[in-house]
Formats: sequence, structure tokens, C-alpha cells
Amino acid sequence: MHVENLEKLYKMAEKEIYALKDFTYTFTKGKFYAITGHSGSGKSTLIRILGLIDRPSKGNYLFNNQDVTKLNDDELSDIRNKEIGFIFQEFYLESEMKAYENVMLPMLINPEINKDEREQRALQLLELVQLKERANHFPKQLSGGEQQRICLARALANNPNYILADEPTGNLDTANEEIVFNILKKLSTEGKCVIVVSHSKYVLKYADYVLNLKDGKLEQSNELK
Amino acid sequence: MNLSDYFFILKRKIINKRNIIFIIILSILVTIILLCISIMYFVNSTYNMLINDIDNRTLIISKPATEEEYQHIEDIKHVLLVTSNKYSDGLSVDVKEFKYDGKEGIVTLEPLLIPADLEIKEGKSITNELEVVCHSHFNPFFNQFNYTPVNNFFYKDKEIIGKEFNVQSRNTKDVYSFKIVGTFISHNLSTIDTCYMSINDFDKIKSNIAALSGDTPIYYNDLMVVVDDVTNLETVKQELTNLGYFPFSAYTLDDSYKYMVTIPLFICLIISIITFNILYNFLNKKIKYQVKSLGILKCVGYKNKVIFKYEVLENLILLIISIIISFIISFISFLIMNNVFLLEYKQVTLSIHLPYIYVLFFLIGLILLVIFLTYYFLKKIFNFSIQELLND
Ligand SMILES: Nc1ncnc2c1ncn2[C@@H]1O[C@H](COP(=O)(O)OP(=O)(O)O)[C@@H](O)[C@H]1O
Ligand SMILES: [Mg+2]
Repeated sequence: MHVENLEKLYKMAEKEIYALKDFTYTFTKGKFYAITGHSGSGKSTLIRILGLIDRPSKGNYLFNNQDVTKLNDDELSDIRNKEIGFIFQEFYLESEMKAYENVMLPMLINPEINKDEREQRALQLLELVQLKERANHFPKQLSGGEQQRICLARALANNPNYILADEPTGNLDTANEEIVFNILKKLSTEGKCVIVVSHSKYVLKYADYVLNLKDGKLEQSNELK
Repeated sequence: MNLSDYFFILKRKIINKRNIIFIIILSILVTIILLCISIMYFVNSTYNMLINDIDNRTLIISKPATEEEYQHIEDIKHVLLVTSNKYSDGLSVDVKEFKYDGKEGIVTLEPLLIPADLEIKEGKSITNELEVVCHSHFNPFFNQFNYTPVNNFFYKDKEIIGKEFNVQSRNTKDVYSFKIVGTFISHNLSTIDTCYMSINDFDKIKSNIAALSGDTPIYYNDLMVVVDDVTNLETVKQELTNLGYFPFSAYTLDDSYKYMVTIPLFICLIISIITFNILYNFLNKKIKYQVKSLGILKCVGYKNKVIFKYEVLENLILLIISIIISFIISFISFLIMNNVFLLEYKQVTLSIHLPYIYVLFFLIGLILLVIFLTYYFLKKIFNFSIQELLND
């Protein structure tokens, strides 16, 4: 995953804001990246562009050596479904669906996952996030930490190579935070590319690289040992 | 993604308060429209039936002096039949062979002037002497019970075929035995005690005397001229006037019948506009309400066309449930109407029902409208980025 001169311009009524400017970086599989920076520094903008939820105003984005800035909506949807797992601070779970059904949601449109494997797979993922016994609960019946772990399980539904999270632990207590980061760390050691936006100092314990954003620009990037 | 996958999502989301209220309101509106369509169709087809009844196509003129003049009349374009006005009235006779609750039956006998007009339902048409064809809802007793047919007393088609009854001639007092060989479907307002017979047989039993004035009998001295279609009535009338006759219609239908269509038509239009409004607003609000959910689906990789199919499926299910409910209510309404309101007219075969072709057009239109509106509102939603949908 390679981005070059990424730029995102928000045109407001009177002023223009560069949420992201001249961002160039290469993310590789098997690594855990932490993105830090002050509020408003462009972290969410960046991770949304990386997660193909938003398009950059300018710049190149090579995803698995494919220029995704030229793809249409349907092609991007396919990549989002199979290659990317996205975790939000606000969870965004379907409130009318049970936990395991939420996890199954991305599998329904993935022909590579057999129909009768789906439920089994969803339960395995719930086991991974230590919520198997909550499979039949609705999101309303779960705590914030539990909902975030459901969201994590859903992100892993189609076994994506890239797992992106925007402040996944922003609303969580440290116990839950630890569970989430442990799972993400384990995934990166298994060969996935994990990119996490986080304010938490805690994340540095897990990350291989830390990227610091300031006013939409990459201020510094360090490898942590 | 196949249908069962769509239902996997739908089964959790379709049952909610909004949708149920929508189904109830839509059912009521569709029911009203269905009833209005049926009533319009009923009024219109009844009017057409009435106006094309042989009575409405008949002109009465005085008898010409010569055979040649008679020929002239027959040669007029659109004239189907020229014959004595003796055949313009039927003949009511008591029939001992039919008995119910101690009362004898009464049968109205009519000459079959235009055999092509007769549609046989069961059995056969008249081919031999002394054969008759009776109404498919034959009931020779409605006359005796205040014109209300004894509800359970209807002959089944097959029951009456083969039955015989005796009629005494009004001229010679001879008794003739008639045999029922078939039943006909009425396309006019002939009463349910009607049987048709050949003109020759009718001559045998009907007197040539129309009335007695003091001591002198008045004979049927006029001619009846039957026209092929009511629309040609005026032309033929004009032709006859040109030949020096003074034709007058045997019977004139009240035009106001025709305007009975306007009331249901008006209601139908108003309800259609209301229905469109409700569909428009409901679908618009429903999709707005679902924006976040659509954002989630897009985010995990659902394509626009998959989301469109899902939305259409959900909306069509709501629509079809409403339509089914409307059909059930309509059927029950017709059952009640046909048994209560039309009872008075049960001497003839009038019944109100759904005109399927028109209903089909209406339903197809409704389905297309829902698909189009779903597409229209989704298209607007898809202009927003995923983040905007999620933030909602
Ligand atoms: N949809 C938007 N419209 C206009 N400005 C935006 C929008 N989203 C973000 N911004 C602006 O872009 C900048 C970066 O925002 P964001 O990426 O959310 O920062 P962070 O996640 O680091 O707090 C901020 O100044 C923010 O106000
Ligand atoms: Mg942010």
C-alpha cells in the first residue's frame, strides 16, 4: 500500500482547508502502524482515504500495485469488502441485527465464503474477540467495549489483509483497550497490515512504526524497537 | 448475493412500527382504489349492457301497406330484423311443474328474435320445435316473493336441463309441452325467470290480441324494426322518417346512468393523488431514516446496485402485503355488496367484481412507481460520500 503526495482539500463557504497535504508513505503487510497527532491534524481524513471510504483531492494511491484513484465505485466496493477491514470509533453496528449477524454482513456479498460456513466463521471470530457467548445479543445489549470488539470481528469477516482503525479505543476502558490492541498486534504478526489512529500512549507498546501528523502533513515517522 | 441473503438482512429490519403503519395506510388506500375501479367498471358495463339491450335497439312504426314497402324497410342499412310488434313483449305463464312452498312457478317466455345474441352456458341452443333455453340463474319464483328471489332456490344449470313444463295457448287453449335444452348467460337485463323459444313456438301460445278496448280487440298492428347497434339508431330513424314513417323508440334509456361513473372516477383520482403523496413521502423518509445503515453497508463493500435491489425488495414486500390485504378486504366487500345491495336486483344477473385487466394495469403501475421512487431517492443518497452517510 503506497501513497504519494496525497492531498485532501475541503472547500468551505469562505475558506479552503487542507486536511491532508503532501503525504507520501508506504505501508507493508505484517506491520503495525500507529498514526498520532493533535485533533484536527488530518488523521481521520488519512485513514478514510487509505480505507477507500473517501477519495483524495489529489495524489496517487497504489493498492496492491493497482491505482485505486482511477477505479469506479463498484470496484472500490469490492476492495473494501475483501481486502480492507475498517474499525470506527463509533462502531457503526446495525442495531436491528444480532452480534453474529453483524459479523456475517460482509460475508453475504463475498462469494469466496461458502454459504454454510458463514455462521461458523462468524462464531469463530466472536470467539477471537472473546464474545462468543454474546452472539445472540443485539448491540443495544452490549457495552461500548463489547460493541467495539463486534466491530473488530466484522472487520475481520472476509479475512482482509489490511485492518484500519480510527481511534478504536477512544471510548473504551483500559481492559477493553488491551484486548483490542492485543488482537490487532496478533494480526500484524500473522502478516496483516494494521494501521491504527490513536491518541492513546498505550498504542506505542504495540506499534512497529509511529507516524506523527501535524496540520495535514507527515511531521515525522519512527520505527519503534 | 442471492435472494435468501437479502432475506437474511430483511428479516431483522422489515418489521418495525413505520412499516406497519405504512402497510395499514396503503392497504386502505389501495382498497378504496380497487373498489372505485370495480364500481366504475360495474356502472360502465351495466350501462353498456342496458343500452345494447334489444329494447333499446327497437323502433316501432305502423305497418306498411304493401310487401314492397316492407322490403324497403328491411333493406335499410343496419336493420337486423323487421317483424310484428307482437314479439316485443314476452309472456308470463303459470307453470305447475315448478312448485315451492305451495306456490306455482311463473315463467317469462320470450321469442328468440336474434339467435346470435344468445350465449349458451350449459346444454345446447334451440334447434327443434318445443325446445326452450332458460336463464343460467333460473328461478321461477322471484315474482311470488316480492321480487326477492328465495335465496336458496336457484336451479343449478344441470338440474333444469331436461325438465319439461306445459303451457296453455292463449289462442286455441291447446296445451304444449316445452323441454328445457340449455341455459343462457344474460347480456341484458332479462329477468331470471326468462326462457327463450323459437318464434314459431311463441306464435302458438301468444294471442294476436294486444288488448281489449270495450268489446273490440286491438291487434298487434305495428312493426318493430331492430337495429344492429344503438349508435346506428338515429340513422335508421332518419331513414324511416324519409320513407314517410313516424318511428319511435320502444324504450329510451335514462342518460344519467352514464354519469354515475363520474363519482367513483373522482374519488379514484383523489385517492390516487393521496396514494402517490404517501408513497413519495414514506419512501423518501424511509431512505433518509436508513442513511446510516446504508453507509454501513457501503462501508463493508456493498455495491450500489446490491443496495438498490435490497431496498426495492423491501419496498415491494411492503407493497405486496398491502395489495394482498386490499384484495381480501375488496373480496369481502363485494361479497357483502352482492348479497345485500344487489339482492333487490337479483332478478337479473348483476354482480360487482374486480375487473382483472384494469386491476392488473393499476398494480403494475403501482409496482413500477415504487421501483422508480426507490431508485430516485437512492440515487440522491448515493451522491453523498460514505462518511457523510455514516455521520448522518
Ligand atoms: N467533511 C469535512 N468538511 C470540512 N472540513 C473537514 C471535514 N472533515 C474534516 N475536516 C477538517 O479537516 C481537518 C482534519 O480533520 P480530521 O481528519 O478529522 O482530523 P483528526 O482526525 O486528526 O482530528 C480538520 O481541520 C477538519 O475541520
Ligand atoms: Mg479523527
